[in-house]
Amino acid sequence: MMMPAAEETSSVPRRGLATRTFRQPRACLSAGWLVLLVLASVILPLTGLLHPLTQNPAAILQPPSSAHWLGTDDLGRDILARLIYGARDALALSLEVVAVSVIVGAPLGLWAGFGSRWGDWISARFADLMLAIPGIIVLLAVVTIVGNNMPTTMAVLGVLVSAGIIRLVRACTQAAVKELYVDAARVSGLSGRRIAFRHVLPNVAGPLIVQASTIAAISLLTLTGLQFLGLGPNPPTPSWGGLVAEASANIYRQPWMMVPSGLAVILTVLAFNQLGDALRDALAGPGRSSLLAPARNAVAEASRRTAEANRRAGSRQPADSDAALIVKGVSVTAPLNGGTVTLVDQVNLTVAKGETVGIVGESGCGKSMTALAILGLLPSNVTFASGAVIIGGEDLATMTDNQRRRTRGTRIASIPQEPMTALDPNFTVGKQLTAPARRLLGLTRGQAREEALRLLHEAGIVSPETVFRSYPHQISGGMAQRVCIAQALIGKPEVLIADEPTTALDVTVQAEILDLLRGLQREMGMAIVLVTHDLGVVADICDRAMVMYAGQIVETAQTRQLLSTPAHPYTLSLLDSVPSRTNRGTTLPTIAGTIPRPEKWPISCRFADRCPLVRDACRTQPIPLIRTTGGAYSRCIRTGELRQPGTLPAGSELEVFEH
Amino acid sequence: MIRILVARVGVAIAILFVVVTLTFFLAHLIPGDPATTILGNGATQQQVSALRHQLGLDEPLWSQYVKSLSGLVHGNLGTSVVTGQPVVQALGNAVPVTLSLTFLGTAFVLIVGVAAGILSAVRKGFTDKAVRGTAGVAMAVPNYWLAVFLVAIFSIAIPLLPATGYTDLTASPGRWARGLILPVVAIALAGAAVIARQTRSALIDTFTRDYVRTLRSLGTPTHVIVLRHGLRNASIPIITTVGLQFIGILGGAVIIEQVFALPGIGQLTLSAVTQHDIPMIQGAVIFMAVVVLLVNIVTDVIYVILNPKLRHR
Repeated sequence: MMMPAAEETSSVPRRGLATRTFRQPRACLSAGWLVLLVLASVILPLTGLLHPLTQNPAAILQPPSSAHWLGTDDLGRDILARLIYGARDALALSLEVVAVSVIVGAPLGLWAGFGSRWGDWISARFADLMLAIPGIIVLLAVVTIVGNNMPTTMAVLGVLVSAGIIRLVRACTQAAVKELYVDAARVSGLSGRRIAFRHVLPNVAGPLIVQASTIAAISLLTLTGLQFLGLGPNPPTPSWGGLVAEASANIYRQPWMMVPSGLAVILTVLAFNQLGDALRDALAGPGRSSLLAPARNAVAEASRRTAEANRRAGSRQPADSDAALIVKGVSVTAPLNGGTVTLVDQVNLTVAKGETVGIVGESGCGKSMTALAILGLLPSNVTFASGAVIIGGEDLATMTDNQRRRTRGTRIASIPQEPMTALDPNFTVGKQLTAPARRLLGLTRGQAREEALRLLHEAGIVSPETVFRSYPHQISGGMAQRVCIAQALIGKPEVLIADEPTTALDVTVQAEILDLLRGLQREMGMAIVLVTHDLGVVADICDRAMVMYAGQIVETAQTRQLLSTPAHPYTLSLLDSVPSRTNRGTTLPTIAGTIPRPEKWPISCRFADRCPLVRDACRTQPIPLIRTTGGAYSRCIRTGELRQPGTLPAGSELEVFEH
Repeated sequence: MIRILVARVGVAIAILFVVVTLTFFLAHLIPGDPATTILGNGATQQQVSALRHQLGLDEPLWSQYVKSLSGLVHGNLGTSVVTGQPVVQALGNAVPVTLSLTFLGTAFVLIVGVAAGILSAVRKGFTDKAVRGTAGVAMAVPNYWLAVFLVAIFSIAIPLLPATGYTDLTASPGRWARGLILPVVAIALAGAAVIARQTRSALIDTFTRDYVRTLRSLGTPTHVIVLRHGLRNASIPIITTVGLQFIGILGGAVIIEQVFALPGIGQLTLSAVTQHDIPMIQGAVIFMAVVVLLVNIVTDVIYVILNPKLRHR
């Protein structure tokens, strides 16, 4: 019963794979060259037109001509004919190596991959042995024993390179065995061998072909190398390596001879490698599905009209001469299918010295992008489209990269979301603190050490000396976040951007880190922008908060006001979905639906599709930020009609799920 | 650290034992009698059996095996059946040539490969494309063809560098280096291309890491991020590949020494193969195995040193 489903999953990606591989021009060119070689070496002997051994003393060492397209050698033999006759050995023997390596390596790899300890041990020792001597030396020893018998010698090469196949098949099998459907097949009573053939091999096939193409390339190079040394077929018989040797013997008299033989080998090796690379790329990523193109125009239009609406409404953010950070009309765009989408749309924000402002929203609302835009550290494919980021009277957005770099650490710094990955695993905590301390503060080695230890102590670390000497993998997540905070504070920044600084931490550690931030802010007076999805964190530490939805600010207010009397339906929905005393024991409401993808953001209210209060008017025009009470702003035309949070009326359109 | 080292050395000795055993028994599969080979076809039966006795070939196989093992332990690899020279002595003369070639080749792989990889990763657009394209072609160029090609250009068309021959380092360091430039490029270009690709992808991978964002948020200059943090992170996969490249270069020496007439292990092996000089081939194989195993131990140790998670558990 499990079988059809399992076969479905394994065969579908394979069908697409060939298409994705040969959609790449290099794959077609490579395959074309190989097919051409095969056809030529099969057809030419049948026609009897050119013969590789026919000598012509009247025309020796000639350059290309209409009679001899690739010229002639020192006995007047046609080089093209010799190349084509030599191609048969070159291709057939390379494929022989591939075949032998797969026949030897695949079963051993499967055996090891299915968890047999014996299989694992034997294949590992086999690989050790195969890698202990350069392959060509082994082949030379084989030639001594069997003479110039290339099929046998190449079979030995196949055994030598099978070590790589074993390793690959073993890894792929182990991965496949972990997949659920193999368990299912096992439960339904299939034998190990049938599981291997029906479920594991199809998944190994792709990587195996990639490896096989590499082996084909190596084999051709090795084979022609042996032929070059004179260990190939005996003299009159043409071989590619032998042709290069003949060319090198005539290098003073006719250098042209180097070209055809060399190109034949180079192009064929290139073809094997490029086919492998194309297949690898095809395996790596399923083609990006095309998204609706018109949508991005709608968003660009929406962005423009929103800006216009804002201007008309005269909405202005609270301005303060005491401001540490002023963000004005910041928009961020990203490329999509040849156009652009707006990810952050006209965001304004002012943070005073010593103030903490939260940016709140679900994932995908643009809050992290806003934070990165302020820091000037947007991902490489994302563009800072417009706006100003003013710190200490200077606009970071108009600075050169180098000027902006110099503001980081001293004027603006950040605290990461994942402290464990935010520290370089290859350096000690101490190194990661003293290096910026020396650079930012111009300290000596000893002073930097003192400063680092002081900051670690400040950040609430009980034994700074121990942590200083530790590597990141030796400390806990909470400790790592304290280190990151210490790092951010080295240059005494005026503005600190904290992107979900407690999300990755245990609940008890979260509260400690927030306490620490609050204490440090009181001491140092920096402005903090705190990005979070957690209204609890906002309530705990923020003076003001800004709610974002689909790239726009939908509400800003003092924290107390925002939590008690929200002015936007989205804020209200967020509050209703927070577990609290009032809704304990009842089902927890969630907001139906998710934030739409950026290319689908409408011109009008972006929350309309999920809003319980939506009206026709919400869907026709851009909604500006409207001033409500107490210096708050809301992007909602029905802001006056909102109820209190936690008082869910009967028959509410908010969907209610069992929690 | 010491424990890892001891374990690696133990495995290496075991592998070496297997290699020695295999080469010994394989040599006895070879048709023909070494004594006849040495004396030629005109020798009398008496002469042949006298030589067989002298070489110990009339003893039982196991006794010959034990003797060759004890000889090996005492640094005796037998004598060449062609020249009568002790194998150890012949190897000793050839080793400096081959090691010069392989160590310079590995240095070339590392320096050129890493530099090209950095360039490719840091400069997007044309430079990146050019480096990647060149690397792709370089990986496909056979070393023997490149060797002849380089000679055609830099020895014949523009007579800058010698086409053949080896000068001992102690005799003249300048001529030693000049004579090795073309062989080193020919033997190492493909490996440099492999390292360039790997360095590029390892660096690009590093640039996506969270800690690079942290470094940038502290105003760290780009060259510090690339050279200090990027390369440090990339060095772990690179060192493994360099170890494999060294083995490839050692094998390539057989061909390249032939083209440039360098009297190294490769040439020794090749002439031993054509002359059926079994003890010499055995000696060369054992020498190669020892070098490879030593290099593997060194790369393993460097790997551990570079990786703090392995060093400080």
